[in-house]
Amino acid sequence: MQVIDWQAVVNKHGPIVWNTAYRLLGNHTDTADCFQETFVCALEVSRRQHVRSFPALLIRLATVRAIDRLRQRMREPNISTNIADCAAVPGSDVEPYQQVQAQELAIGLREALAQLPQQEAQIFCLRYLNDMSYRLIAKELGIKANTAGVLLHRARTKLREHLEKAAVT
Amino acid sequence: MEEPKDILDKAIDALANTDVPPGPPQELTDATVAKLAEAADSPQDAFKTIKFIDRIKPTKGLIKFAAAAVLLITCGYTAGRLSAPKTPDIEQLRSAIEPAIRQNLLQEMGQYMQVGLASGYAQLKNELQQQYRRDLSNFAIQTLAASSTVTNQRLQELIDAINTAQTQDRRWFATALKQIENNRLQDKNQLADGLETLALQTEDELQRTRQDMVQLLSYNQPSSLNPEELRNPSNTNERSKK
Repeated sequence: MQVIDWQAVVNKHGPIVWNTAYRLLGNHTDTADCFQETFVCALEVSRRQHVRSFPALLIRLATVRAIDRLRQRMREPNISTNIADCAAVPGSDVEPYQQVQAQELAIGLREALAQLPQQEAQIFCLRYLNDMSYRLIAKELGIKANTAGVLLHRARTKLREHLEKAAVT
Repeated sequence: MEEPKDILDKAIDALANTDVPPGPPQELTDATVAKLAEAADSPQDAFKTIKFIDRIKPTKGLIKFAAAAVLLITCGYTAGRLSAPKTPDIEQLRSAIEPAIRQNLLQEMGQYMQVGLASGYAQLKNELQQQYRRDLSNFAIQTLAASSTVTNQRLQELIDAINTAQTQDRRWFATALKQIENNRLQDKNQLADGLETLALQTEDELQRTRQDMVQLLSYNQPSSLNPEELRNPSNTNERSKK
């Protein structure tokens, strides 16, 4: 059985998980929940199988948890998605309208990701938000690289349609 | 840097460049480590139980669907059974069908046997032809090999005989040549002796003839010829010598 120093793992790979979850969720509270769930899930995975690469596993789990939480938000519209986050203060080098436009696009993309099938959303996030290669994504998800490419193409098409529809309305 | 035109690329850039506050906070890290320690101490069956329950949840709809399918299949089977015609009389049906079936069966069996025999005959013929060709080929090969061996043996014997005869001829020829040479040498010696003897005798005769001739030419009629000297010519020689 694999012996893991979880404190060292959390200290070493915590920032990656935090960044991954925060980009998708956009607020502190959900990110914190997702952070904890990711590591607990990683513990379960490490009990079932040998973990070769903790960064890849944690990024994948964080992405899955964050997408699940986005879906939960979509299903339960009563939950406020715009929780005030004091850390998200616009920088001085960006115009305010550009900041607002970027925020709207990011929110629209999060909504679109919540409506995608799980695997497509997962592959999209791993590729474009975490900059993972097709081979690494395929290896981590246990699929072929060609399949990952096809799913990514479908995800892009659906997301573009959703964003264009949202922009028109 | 060039600004992306596609709305999706813009959205990806916006989401990827979202300002992320530095983190995670130390409290969150500590809480996570504590939770992990607690989870690590708990038995693994708890996870399995939760996982099994989680797995059952999505199958509720499937169970409903399966129940509906079973109900539909049951209704269809019942309707089919009720609407099915009555069972015909088996004996009557059998008596009506049996001759035709028997005849068809006999015809089919006959055809099958005929086809089988024809194919067997053709196969047997083919196999026999092949066997015959193989035997002929083997016999020809063996005959050729034996013939070649005997021919070579006879040729070798002939060569040996010719060689022996040639050797004997050479030996005889050499003996004959030697004999001829000996005879020639002997004849030569005899001839030389004869010629020498002849030459000596001829020389003597010529000498004598010359003396006679000289004597004859220098002969003068003596005044008083002794009749004795005329009778004995040897005295003439002695006188001439003197």
